[in-house]
Formats: sequence, structure tokens, C-alpha cells
Amino acid sequence: MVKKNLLLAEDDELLASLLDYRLQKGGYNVHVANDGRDVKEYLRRATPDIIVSDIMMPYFSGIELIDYVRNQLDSKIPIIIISSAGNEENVLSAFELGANDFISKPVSPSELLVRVGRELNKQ
Amino acid sequence: MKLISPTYHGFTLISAPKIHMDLLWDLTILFSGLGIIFFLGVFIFRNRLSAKASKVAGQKKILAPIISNFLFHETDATKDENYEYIKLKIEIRDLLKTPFNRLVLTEILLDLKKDLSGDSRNRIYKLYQDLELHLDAFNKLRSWRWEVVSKGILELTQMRVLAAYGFIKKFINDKRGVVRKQAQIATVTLKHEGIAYFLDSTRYGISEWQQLKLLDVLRNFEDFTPPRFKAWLTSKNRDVVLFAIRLIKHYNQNDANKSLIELVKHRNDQIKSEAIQCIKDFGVFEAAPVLKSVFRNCSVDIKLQILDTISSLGKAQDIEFLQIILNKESNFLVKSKAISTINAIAPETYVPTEGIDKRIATKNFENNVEDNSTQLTEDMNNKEIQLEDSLSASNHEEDSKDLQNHLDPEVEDEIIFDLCFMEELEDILTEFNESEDQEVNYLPLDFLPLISEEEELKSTVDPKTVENSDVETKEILEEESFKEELEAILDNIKTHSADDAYEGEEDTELEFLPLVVESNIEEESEDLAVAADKDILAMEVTEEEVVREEKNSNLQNKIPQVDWLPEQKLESFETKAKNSIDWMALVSESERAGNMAQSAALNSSTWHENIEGEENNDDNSTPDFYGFSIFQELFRTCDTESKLILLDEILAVGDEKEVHFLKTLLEDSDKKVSAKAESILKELHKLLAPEMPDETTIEQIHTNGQGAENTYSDKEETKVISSVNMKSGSFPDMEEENMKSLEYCFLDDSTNEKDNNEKHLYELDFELMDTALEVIKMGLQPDKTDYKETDKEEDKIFGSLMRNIILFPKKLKEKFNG
Repeated sequence: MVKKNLLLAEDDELLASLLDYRLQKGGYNVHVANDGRDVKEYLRRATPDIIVSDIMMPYFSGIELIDYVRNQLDSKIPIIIISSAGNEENVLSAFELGANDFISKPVSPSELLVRVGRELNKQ
Repeated sequence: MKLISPTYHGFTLISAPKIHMDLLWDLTILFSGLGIIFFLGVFIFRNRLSAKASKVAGQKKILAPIISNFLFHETDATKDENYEYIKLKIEIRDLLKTPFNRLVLTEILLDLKKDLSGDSRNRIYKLYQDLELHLDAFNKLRSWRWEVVSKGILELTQMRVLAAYGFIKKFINDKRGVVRKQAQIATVTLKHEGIAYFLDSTRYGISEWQQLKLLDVLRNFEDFTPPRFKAWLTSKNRDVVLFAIRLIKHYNQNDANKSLIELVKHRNDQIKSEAIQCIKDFGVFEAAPVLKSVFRNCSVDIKLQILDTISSLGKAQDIEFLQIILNKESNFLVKSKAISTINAIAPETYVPTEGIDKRIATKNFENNVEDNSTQLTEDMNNKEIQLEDSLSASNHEEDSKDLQNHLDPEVEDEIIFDLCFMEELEDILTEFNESEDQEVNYLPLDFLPLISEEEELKSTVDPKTVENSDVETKEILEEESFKEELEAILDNIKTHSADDAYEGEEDTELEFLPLVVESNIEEESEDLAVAADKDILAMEVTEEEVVREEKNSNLQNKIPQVDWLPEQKLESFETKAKNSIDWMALVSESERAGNMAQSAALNSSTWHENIEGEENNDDNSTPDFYGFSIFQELFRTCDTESKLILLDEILAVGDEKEVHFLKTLLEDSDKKVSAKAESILKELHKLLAPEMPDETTIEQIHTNGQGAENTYSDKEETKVISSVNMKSGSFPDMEEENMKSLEYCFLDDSTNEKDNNEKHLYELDFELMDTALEVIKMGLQPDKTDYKETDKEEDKIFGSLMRNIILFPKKLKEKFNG
């Protein structure tokens, strides 16, 4: 079975590493990007099956990422947003721009895995 | 060389102390050295920190995958995974031998604990203890440094090391504040019974912030059964009692009413306040007698709180107590609260008494409303009567007017608008009169002799002089006309508001349009000096008419399809003219700059373009010429109320041009406006019907007024005049010019100009003969033969002059309308 490509955009390296491990263990081919520039760079050369992105990132926020994917790349790749609790405005903006799902910090890796699977199944 | 002796003398008292130079050098070296050491220290310290941080970051990158593996290792993993797990375990055991790695691992786990939730977090807690990292934290508790101890306590608390509870609770009464507070929170966090231990044993005060944090910890507990906090209401620690009351309130433990009632008698206002609040929240009715008894000795804040509690718990028998407070209490706040409490128990016992106008009779109120409503309805139908009524009402019936205005703000707005309008108008006139008095020499006709004088002095005609005189003429005439028209408007408004029978009389409100010319003719015999000015103006118009006749004939020759003229084409001309403001400005600029050729080229090119465009576009269509209503522009930006006011103004000052505009308003989406427009239209029709000019009348006027030479031979031109529908009844002379709509006058003039420009291109050669000058000085109307026609451009000058004069009312209107 072909592994699905997942782009994980998270600036916290520890959390990114942990989620990377968990998602890889869950059966995904994960590419980790630690800032917005990495994300853009990766999106120029590849098209992931799903994007999991933190909202607050250096250089290129999660909101901008959604805008970039939806409007500039004109892509309907599922996007799951990770945001800290109490960041309601950003989450709403993300949904307005076309985010598919949202998970708040502190993150439960198991829950994230389930959500990723659900979004891919929708496709 | 001679030295200048000093002009000052030294005083011993203020002389500078003698410092040895060696000492200065020593101090300089010392401070320089200290500075260097300081900056070196900062540099080294910073480098060490950054080096350590980078080392930790690097180590975290190495350890993070190991931690992930440990965290997410499943018992049902494959053989390879299990092998790898065991390998990593061995590896990490080696790593844990060094304190640095232990430190980094602790940091990683603490960081991950923040970002992860659920099962992953529990695994982190377990891993922390499996790796025996908690032993380091225990060691920290033994430190003599408060910050290390505090950090140890925090670490053990965050990693939920329950075994640390016994160690940490000893620090609850630590003399070091930070350690104590950290221990208090840790004690409450680690075990559910921690709160009871804390409340039992704490001897120090508990700050508000600490209480909030403890409450937050308790709130986040899962499966927490709070103890009965009434047990701590008897504590000797005041803060414990206070915290216990708050916890009782938070957990709704209403089994401590008796204690709470007793606490109302507490000396401490804070405890008293919390107890009263609890009593109010729990609805402890039996507390009322105690509340009343303690009331007298309480502070104002507590009194207010007690009254507030009584308002929710009190009964009818408490009103007596409240009445006593109301009579005896000196504090306004307490009295006011007592009244509101009485009203809460027995509603509407006290009604508002302050600021009530007792002159208003309650019984007659309905009758007054009816009378005023009837009057208002009438007023809405007749604005003038309403204005008068309102003004008189302001003098006689103040109460009635108040009611009236309260009832209908629209009427009030209209009255205010009218009053302001009248005041503004009078101010403008006053200013104008004053300025006129100051500038006695600045007579409207000064420009004419000036031109002739220059003509005498100079043998050749200077176009710039003529241009300047033209500008002067325009300015003078503008001022003169402005004044006259303002006066006319003011008079009209005043007479309209006062005289009901004005409808039957001749409508003079549009007199301001041709007033420039008409006033000259009418007042000819009254004042010689004034007559001279005005006669000359009239003479100019007559001359203009001659020029017009010639221009018309030229125009007909040039344009074979002149049959369309005004009726069919003027509207489009008008539109084009409006749309080509830039073009007009360009032409005007060219004229001023003396670039006549350019101006003429502009005129002629645009003229031809217009003609061609019209011919192409409107060959088959025969659009009606309605004229442009000045109100149309105003209506675009108005709200409904303003539109209604403007409609009244249309009735007052409107003419035939407004008829079409009113018809368009009949289809307005706003029913108020359309209804009003309909009524105004009817009334306007009544007003205008007897004054509508017909072709024969105008022709007769032309023939009788100026002689055969000045009449329009061209019937089409006469149609233009009649189609424009300007009033002719009040203008015995110069009707054809006056009766045209302003826009048409402008366009007609410009078209004539253009036609003329093609021939002679502004070679101005304007001069007056001596006989004409004499006649002007004598105040008599000169014969046209007195003008020496050096060139046809003379007509052009008069045309330009007349255009400015004719355009003036339009400019005035624009100014007047802001």
C-alpha cells in the first residue's frame, strides 16, 4: 500500500519530531517543515496529500499558508490547523480561508492521527 | 604687543580644588580597566549562555527521537521495534550518567508535557520517573538556595510525582515566600486531600493571587470531592476563613448558614462582605435581623451591601427599618439605596420627584396632544404658515410648543432650518452692504471709462486691457447682482411666509435670473447715475442681440440641418457641455493666456465634434428639452427629510424646469417624496399656468421692445426661447435673453462664439467712440451707431461679456447652494 504524503509544518522542533514519529508510525510519509519558507519550498516541488500546520510560524503563518495553497496554488489539499488554546480569531480566519480541520494545543498525537485519517478518507 | 588686562577677579571661595594630576590619571586608568572588565564579563557570560543553549539544542535534537520512541512504544510491537527499543534503553542509560544529559532530558520532557495531552502526557510522567529524573528534583529540595528549591518543587509538581507530596508539604510554612507559595500549590495539586492539609496547617497569610491560583487548581481537578469548608470558618487565620467562605460560595456549600450569619458580625470588613454576599447568594432569610442589627456600625460599602441583600431577601416588615434609615441616614448613597430597596420590596412606593415639571397638568395632557397634532397636520401642508405659527408659538405658548416639537422632530428641524437660513441670508446682505459702503469708488460701471481712457492713451488696442476690463466687469456685475438677488430672495421668503395671497400674484421669485438686465430697464427713469450704468448694460444686451442675429444666420449657413436647433439638440448640447468641463476650463485658460489661436482651435474642434456627434447619434430621435433643475443635483445627496424641505422650496422658487424634475420624482421609491412631489407639481402647475409664454407674445415683445433690427427673424430661434419656458411676463425687455435657460444661454453663446472664432480668431479691437462715452457719462442710452465697428471682434467682446453676465445667476445659484 502506498503511503500518503503528509506535510507537517511546525516550528517547535521537539513537538515536530514527536508528531513526525507518531505519524510515521501511523503509516504516513511525513515531511517536516520548521518554518514558512520550508513549507513554500516544499510546496513548489511537491504536492502532499495532506498538510498539518501550526498557525503561528516564523516567516509564513498557517493562515498565509492556507491562503497560499487555496488561492495561489488553487489546490484543495486538506489542511489541518494546530493552534494554541484561546486563539479563536486565528482559527476562525483559518476556517474562512479554507482550513479543513482544527486541533488545539496541547496536542494529543493519537487524536491528530485520527483526524488526518478522517480528512484523507473524505477525499 | 599690549595685553588686555582681565576684567574679572578670582574669588577664593569659589576657586576649584587643587587635584593632583597623578591622581586623575590613576582614576582614569582604574575606571577604564573596570569598564573593560565589565564589557569582557558581559561578553564571556553571554557567550557561555549562548554556547550552552546551542549545546542543549543540539542534544535535544539527538534525544528527541529517543524520547519519541520511548513514548510511543507499544507492547505489541514487532520484533525489530522491540529490539530497537531495548537498544535505545541501553543507550539512554549511558546518556543518563552525565548530569548534562539528565538536564536536557528533563527539559525535553517538561517541554513536551506542555504540548501534549491525553495518553502521551501520562506516558511522559511515567517516563520521567522511569528515567529516575525525579531524583534530581528531590536533590534540589535539599538546596539552601530558594530558587533551586522552588524549581525542584515545580518540577515534581509538573511531573506529578506523588511521592514528593510528603516532602513538599513541609515547605507550606516556609519563611521564604516563593518556596512557601510554590509548596502550597504543590500540596494542593499533588493530592486531593492537600487542600485540607493546607487549610489546616498554614500559618501565613494567603494572598488574593494565591487564592485564585489555588482555586484554579481545585477547579481543574478531575473526580474531586471538595471537603466541607465550613470547618475552616472557625480558623484563627483570617485569610483561611476568607478563603473558606469563598470556597463555600464556589462549591455552593449552603450548610454553614449559622456560621455565615455569625461572620456578619466579624470585625474584618472583607470577611463581613464575603459573608453577606454568601447570605445573599444562598438566600439566608434568617440573617435579616442580624443584618439590621449590624447595619448601624458598618461602613458605607457594607451598608450598601446589606441593603442590597435586604432588597433580595427582605419582606414588608423590613420597610419600617428602611424608612428609619431613609430618615436618619445622612449619606446620600445609603439613602438612595434605601429608597431602591423599599421599591424592590414594595414596588413604586417612591416615584421620581426630581426634575419633574409640576406645571404640566396631567388631566389636560391628552387634549393638548390632540390639539397640537391637528395643528401639526395643517402645518405639514403649508410650510409658510407653519413657520409663522412656530415663531408666534415660541413667543406665546411655550409649553404647547415643547409638546409640539417633542411630538414631531421633522417640524422642529424645518423651523430651525428656516431660521438659520434667514439669519445667514441677512448676514450675507449686511456684509455685502458694509463692503459696498466702504468701497464707494468701486462702482459697477467703472470699467467702461477705463477702457475708453486706455483707448485714448493708446493708439492700438491691447487685448489684455480688454480682457482685464472684462474681468472687472464680471466681478462688479457679480457683486451687484449678487446683492440684488439675495435681497430679492430674502424679500420673497419674507413675503411668502407673511402673505397667503401670493399665489395669485405674479411670480417674482425667478426675477433674480434676468435681474441684471431687467432692473436696468425698470429703474431707468429713477436715478440718473444708476440708470446710466444699467442703460449701458441694456445697450450691451441690445448689441449682443444684433450679434446673435448675425451669428444665427452664419450658423444656419454653416449647418444646413439647423432645423434641429434647440428643441431637438439642446439637451444633448447641454449634457455635452456639462461633461466637458475640462474642455471649457481649457478654453478659458487659453483665452486668459492670450493664446487665442489655441482657444479658437479648441472651440471650433469641439464644436464640430459636437455637431457631428449629434448628427450621427440623434438623426431620428427628437428628445425634449426640459432644462436642468438645480434641485436635481441636490436631491441626489439628500435624505428624505431634506427632500421634503427641498420640495417646498421648489414650490417657492421653482419654474417650468422643475416640472419635469417633479414628474420624475413621482416615481420615487420613497412614497413620502412621491406624494409630496405630486402635490407640489399640482401647485406649481397652478402657479405657472397663467404665465406660460407663447411664441406670439415673445415675438411681439421682441418687436416692440427693441425694434425690428433686434428681433429674431428666425422662427426656430423663437421656438428655442419658448421651449425653454422662462417667464416673460415680468420682463418687458430683453426677454429673449432672459427667457432662455441659463445653460442654453451659455451653450448658445459658446456656439456663436465658435462660429465667429472661425473667421477672426480673437483679434480683439474694441473701442468706443467719443460720442458714446459722452452719452455714458451723461447717463443716457447711446445709439448703437455710436459704436465704431473696427472689426467684427467687437461683437465677440460683447458676447463674452454677456456670457459672463448671463452665467452669473447660475454661478450665484451654485454659490447659494454651497
